[in-house]
Amino acid sequence: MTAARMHRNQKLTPVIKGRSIAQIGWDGATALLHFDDGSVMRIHTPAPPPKNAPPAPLGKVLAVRQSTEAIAFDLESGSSLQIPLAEATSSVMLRDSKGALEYAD
Amino acid sequence: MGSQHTHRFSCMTEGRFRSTAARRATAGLGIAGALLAFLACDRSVSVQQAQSQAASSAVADTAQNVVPSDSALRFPFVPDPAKTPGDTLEVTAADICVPGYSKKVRNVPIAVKRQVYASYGIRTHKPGEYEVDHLISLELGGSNSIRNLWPESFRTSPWNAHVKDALENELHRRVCDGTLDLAKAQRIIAQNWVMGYRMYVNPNPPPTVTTHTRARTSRHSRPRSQPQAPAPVP
Repeated sequence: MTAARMHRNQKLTPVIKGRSIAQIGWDGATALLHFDDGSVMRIHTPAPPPKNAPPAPLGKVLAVRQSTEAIAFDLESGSSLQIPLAEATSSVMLRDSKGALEYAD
Repeated sequence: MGSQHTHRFSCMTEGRFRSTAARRATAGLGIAGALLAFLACDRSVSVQQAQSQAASSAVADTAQNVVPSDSALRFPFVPDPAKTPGDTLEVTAADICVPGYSKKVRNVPIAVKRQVYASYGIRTHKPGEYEVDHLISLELGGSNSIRNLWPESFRTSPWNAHVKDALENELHRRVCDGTLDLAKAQRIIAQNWVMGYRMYVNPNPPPTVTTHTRARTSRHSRPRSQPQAPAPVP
């Protein structure tokens, strides 16, 4: 997970910019990011998080960066939420509160 | 992506060979060897339904194409199933039939495209020779996984990237008008898109067209001179 290799995700950033990550859950190795508007992002990761992992930062998303190994959500607070990806593509999917597809990679 | 929606296809598909040794062996056996390789495939529902004249002629026609001339090996018209078995997103027909669906899917990153070329041993290529294409098209719920990507040739004839587009469009149309199940459409195009073309677009191969340097102009164009094949018997 190298921040230097991360590039702004030009397709996803405008979709979720301004939404707030309200909660993060896990379904096995899949991270579930729940946004304040009811949308949910599923991110396939290589493995579930360790039990002693520190709490992930929440807040309003300013931008999304991505590399072949990880996706990062830059938050309004100045912090960044980084999540490793199971593979370079085909790991991220976003659906709105009604279940309609908004984004997939 | 999710394993429950990921389709794996293990068939030895004609037109590609696993190794140099296999290529040489098939070169020795010629068309008979190619046919044996084809018949050894473990094919399921959709192909069993292809027990028709169109399917038979597809085998014969395809067998001619797998005689391993240098150009056939350099410009494969079907992917290596070991490298590109096909992979799908967790989407439904309701998702893919929404206008603009494919625009919601991220473009394949250049790093991944390079990985695809490398996996097929292609170190250099000229503009118009290939495109990194989705075996199961985005419009049919295919994913951007490397398991669903391959360097598709524009140069082979009659089977090439332009022709595959016609099949993709036809299968998408049938899925969205409710006459074809999405999972079945995905299987058809992943297992053998040439046979799929002959079943769903036209039983005859498209006319031979030289496309050496011409890039695809529209992903949604269909050869207009081709009469449409009748719907296969369910």
